[in-house]
Order: sequence, then structure tokens, then C-alpha cells
Amino acid sequence: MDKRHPSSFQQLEKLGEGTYATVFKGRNRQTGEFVALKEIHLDSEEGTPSTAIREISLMKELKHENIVSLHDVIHTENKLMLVFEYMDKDLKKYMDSQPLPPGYDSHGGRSRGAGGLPPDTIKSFMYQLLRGIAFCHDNRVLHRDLKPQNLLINTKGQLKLADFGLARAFGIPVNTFSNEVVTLWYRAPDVLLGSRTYNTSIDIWSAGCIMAEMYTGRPLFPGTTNEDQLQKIFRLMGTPSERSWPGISSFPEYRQGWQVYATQDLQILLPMIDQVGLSLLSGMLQLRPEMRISAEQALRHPWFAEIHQRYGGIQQQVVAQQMGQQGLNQQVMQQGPGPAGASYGTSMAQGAY
Amino acid sequence: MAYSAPSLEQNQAALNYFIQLPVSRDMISYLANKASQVIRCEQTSELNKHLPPTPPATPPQHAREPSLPSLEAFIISLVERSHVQVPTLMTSLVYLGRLKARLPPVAKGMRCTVHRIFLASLILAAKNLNDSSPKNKHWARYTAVRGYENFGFSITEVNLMEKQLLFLLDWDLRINPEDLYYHLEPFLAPIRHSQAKQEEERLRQQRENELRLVAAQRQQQQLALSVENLARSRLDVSTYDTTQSYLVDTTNYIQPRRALAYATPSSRSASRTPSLSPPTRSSSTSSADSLSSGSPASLAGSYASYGYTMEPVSEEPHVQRYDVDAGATLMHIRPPPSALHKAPREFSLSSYEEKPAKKAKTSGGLLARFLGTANAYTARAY
Repeated sequence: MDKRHPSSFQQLEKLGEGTYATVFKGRNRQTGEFVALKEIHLDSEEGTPSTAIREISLMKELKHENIVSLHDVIHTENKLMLVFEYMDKDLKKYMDSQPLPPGYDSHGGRSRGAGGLPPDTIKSFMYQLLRGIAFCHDNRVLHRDLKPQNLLINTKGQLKLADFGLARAFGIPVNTFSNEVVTLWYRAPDVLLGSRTYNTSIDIWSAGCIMAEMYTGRPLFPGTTNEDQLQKIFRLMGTPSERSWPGISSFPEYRQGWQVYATQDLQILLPMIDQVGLSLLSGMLQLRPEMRISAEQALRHPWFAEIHQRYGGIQQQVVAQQMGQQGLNQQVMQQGPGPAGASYGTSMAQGAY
Repeated sequence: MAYSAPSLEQNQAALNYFIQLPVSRDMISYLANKASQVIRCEQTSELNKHLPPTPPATPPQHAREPSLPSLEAFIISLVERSHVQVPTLMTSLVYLGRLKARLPPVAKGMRCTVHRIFLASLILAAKNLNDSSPKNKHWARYTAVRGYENFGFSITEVNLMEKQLLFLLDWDLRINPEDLYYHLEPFLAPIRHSQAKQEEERLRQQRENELRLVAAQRQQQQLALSVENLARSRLDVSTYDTTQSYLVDTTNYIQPRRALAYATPSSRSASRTPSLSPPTRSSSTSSADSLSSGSPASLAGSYASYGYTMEPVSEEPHVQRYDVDAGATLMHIRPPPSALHKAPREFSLSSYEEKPAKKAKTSGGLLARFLGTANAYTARAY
């Protein structure tokens, strides 16, 4: 790995700037291939940042078509350079660059410039997002920072998970977890409530928020503080109580005096979503982590039936292998979209998993 | 102790128990031993091989020469200063094992190499496992060892050893449960054993109580039947009462037993185990005396004089006793290279940084730098 020198790459324009790194477009001088160069400044007091240590060690293992691939690591005196495959833009920029669909602006000033994505695109992106998530979870990795800015899109319409700086391995008892994870708007209620024993379901909450955002072009819960974030969530999903969520009062951030909101119908906020999609979305946006649908279950949701058909055997096989339950997989696909699909999602949300 | 291959559940339960234990002297000895096996190190001199493997906590006698604390003393001091807990501390074993597997068998280091290797492994474990962990500048501070005023690593050295270990491990820092079961087996086996015994005892108690309850109920029924003829209405009530009180007694009987099994501190004699004192320990220094005498009081005393923040061995749950016993056979404690005399200059910061070979490009060169030596030893190894 370390044999290459930073000068093997021609540094082009800046693509983005994060808290601990700057990303440039680059070109491999030998092959001419475009790459993304993530430059991490090394602070002499900190040493190699733990974010970089985890990102590299995890990404070396996570080889999947829906996860951006790490080609190289160049460790020099004062910086660490990660060489990634080049992707054209992130989902945020992709959404911002979308022309308003005809008739969309009749919603009147709800968004400036950015509209939602076409339903087919949303379905394809959600499918790819969930495949990437399922692969991480299958490999005992939590991403912990899923948001449109960290999902990269290329010209082929592929979506890949990126930025594993907050990612962590789970499944070993020797870990300690912080609840300072996930960008606020995409942070699950259990994490907002101070949980440190969260699991894969926090990534699913983020995926749900992203799905809604792809429909409207605007973040679903744009909170300003931890408290405000919880309030925005409760306003839509209803304020939880010990009755709807047994054990909630033992979370560190639980408060007695929460404003009590009734559960709203997601359909009102997302008039453009179909019923089957809505059932998937509500499976992901469950307040209680144990009620949230898993990535693998989500991939088998009837909403994706047409994708399974279009992609044919290969993807089915992948899903089936992951499940180890080909029978169930086919069963679900045969069910197809429709009222049956909707009830499937609802029944799951009510505790089938 | 004979056992069949442990089940996943047994290993999980044992690991969950193990990681809640306080850091013990056993763990540190085991770590030091494993770290010293990663690479063959230059012995200071033939003269030193009869010295005690665990040097004194008191300042060395030859104060004018800077000296190297034993690996064990170094780890004890690091644990004390950093407050690192068992999960992180013991996970460094996985990295030590991985590094050993990657190093060529002919690789050779100098005396402080294992100190560097251990520290770098610990730092990487801390950074990988915990969402917040000390910065390298803190770790540099933690490397000071009381009584060894000229010893310690600078922030530059710490940064470098971290970087070098990352390179040698090729960033392969993933920890799987299987890694932990494998590398912690000497500690998990006795816990599994003890947990199995507890479970057996619990089941036995349960059966016994069930039998007793059945017997009691039968007795009550007989009693009730026999007295029924006399005065049915009043006796029904009393029968009920007796049964109730018996049930309460039963529960009270079980509970203290279980509490005992889980929480009773071991007797003090637990710490007087031969495995803590390597056989070749000499009595040339006062501190070594106090350790090898094995008296719990003096052991606790030496902890106290360190300002030791860990739980003394004598306060560990009784499972540790098995641990310690097993350690005697499983650990193969080998005297680490002793370091009392002939203190070399090589490990001091200044001489390390003076080394010209900083930009070495081959892994051999990097290895050499990591091992704290850019000299003939490693050159020969490649």
C-alpha cells in the first residue's frame, strides 16, 4: 500500500471539506484514471486520528458495489491520503441539481430549486442504499453517519456509501460507544435519548429520513438542537410514552414534560409516495429501535419487487444468500405491490421482528 | 482441567464476565510475556541473566546510569496512569499476536522494542475500540515510569511507533469475537469452568428445592386430608398459610447461596500464588523480595506505594482463583529480558531521533526503525 507517493496523483479541484479531511478530485498520473483523494491532516498531538484508523481498517474489508472502494493509503510525515474510486457527486448535490418535475412547483415555495427525485430513481437509490447497509451490518459494521452528503452517485446511476469516519465494528463486548454520532437531522430517537447501546437500527432510521428527503427534496427533521430534533420527530411520529415505548423513561434524555403530539399520517407530508413505499418508510421510521425493519427485511419488501424482476437472477441470488431463505424471498416478490404489501409492512412494524 | 470445546454461548458469557474484572497482576504478567515473544530482543549482557525478571519499584541502585523498566513495570505504570480498562488492555493481545505472525522469525529488536510494540498496540486498541480515547500526547506522558527518570517516550516517538505498527499490520485492526476467544483463552477457560460449576450448582439447588416443595405439598395434602375429617373450614386456612411461609423460606434459602457464588471476594490467600513469582526470581532487591515472598499484605503494599489504582488482587471475585491456578500452567512465564544494568543510550529520545535512516523505504528499514534500531541487528535479519 504505502509504496505510492502523493505525487503519483495530480491534484485537481476540491470536492468537499469535512471536519477532519479535505477531499480533492485527482488523476492517477500513470493510468489517467480519476480518483478521489481524501487528505487527512495529522495533528502531532493526536497522532493518527481514530476516525482514520477505523475508516481505513473497515473499508479495506468492505468490498461491495454499493460501498465506495478504497484503493490506497499514503501515509506521509504530516498527512494521510486515502485514495478512493471517483464518484461524480453526492446525493445532496444530485438532489439540488434536479430540475423541478413538471407541476411540482404548484406546492408553492416549499423548496427553492430543489425538488424531489423521480419515483423510479428513489426506488433504485433506496435499494442500493439498503444493499450497502445490509452488507455493512452483515459484516458487523455500523456506519453511524448516513446522510445524503455521504451517499455518492456516479453517472451510471450507482449509489455508494462513503465516509466511514464514524463507522464502528459491533458485536464484540469490548467496545465503548458514544452517543455523539450521526448528523443531527438523521439521528435516531434512541440515540437522541442518550442510548449507548444502539445497534444497526440507527442506520435504518437515517435511511428512512433519506428516503423521505428524496421525495420532498428537503430534510425530514431539520432540528437545531438535540431537544428540537426530538420535538420535530415527535410532532410527526407522535410523542412516545411508557405505554407506547416501554422503558423509554429510563433513557438519560427522557423528560417528563414533553409536549404530547398525536401521530401524523406520513402521507400528508409525502403526498407523492405510493402505499407500498409508505409501508416500507414507516417500517424504517419506527421510534422504537427494536420495531425498525432491518436492512435485509427492507430489501425483501414488496416495494422492491420490480427491481428484483428487472435485475434478474443475480441480485435475487445475493439477497437470497444473505437471507438463507430463498423461499421467503420469492414469496415476497410474488406478493407484489398493492394492499397486501402495505399490510405486510404494517404487520412487521407491529412487532413481527 | 478437562473440558470439551466450549460453545459460543459459554465463550460469550465468559468474555462478558472477564471484561468486567479489574486489571490484575496476572493479566499484566501475561501481556508482558506475550509482548516479549513478539520479537527476539537483544539481551543487554550475559551478566544480567541472573537478575530478577521483575525489577524493583524503587529507584535503581546505579542511579547514574539511565535504566529501562521491565516490560511488566512499564505496563503497570501505563495502566495506572491511563486508567485503561480490561477490554482495551487485553485486546492489545490480538494485535501483538497479529504482529508476531507478520514479523519474520529472524527479526530482532533491541531492549526497548517490546516496550514500543506494546505501547503502540495498546494505543491502537484504545483508538479502535473506544469512541473517545487519549491523544498520543497523553500516551507520551503516560510512558513515564516512577524510579526511571530517564525513561519515557516523546510524542514524536509515540506518533512514529503508532504509524509503524499501522504499517506493519497493514491497517488490519479488525477485532472479531473469535480473535478475543482465541487470545484470551487462558483467562476465559477458568471462567467458563467456574460458570459451568455455578450453573450445575444452581440446577442442583433448583431440583432439590422442587423435590422439597413437592414433598412439602404432599405432606400438607396428607395433613389436610387427615384433618379434614375433624374440622374442614378452619384448617383450610391454616394449610394455606403454612404452605405460603414455606415458599418464602425456600426463596430465602436460594438467594443468599447465589449471591455467594457470584460476589464473594476470594480469600486473601488467592494472591499468594506461585505463578506470580517466576521461579528464577532472585532476592537481590528489596522490592523483588516483597513480591516473591507472596505475602498478600506486601503485595497490596507494593500496589499502594505505586499509587496503584487497580483493585488489589485479593479483592477479585473467586473466579480469579481458577484463573491464577491455570495461569501457572498456561502462561509459561519466562523471565523478560532484564534491564537493570548497562543502561544503553539507544532508547533515549535524543539518540533515537538522531538516527539518520528516517526515510528508509523498504519494510526492513521501517521495521528497523520501529524496533528502535537501525543497526546491524536488523540489517542482518534481512
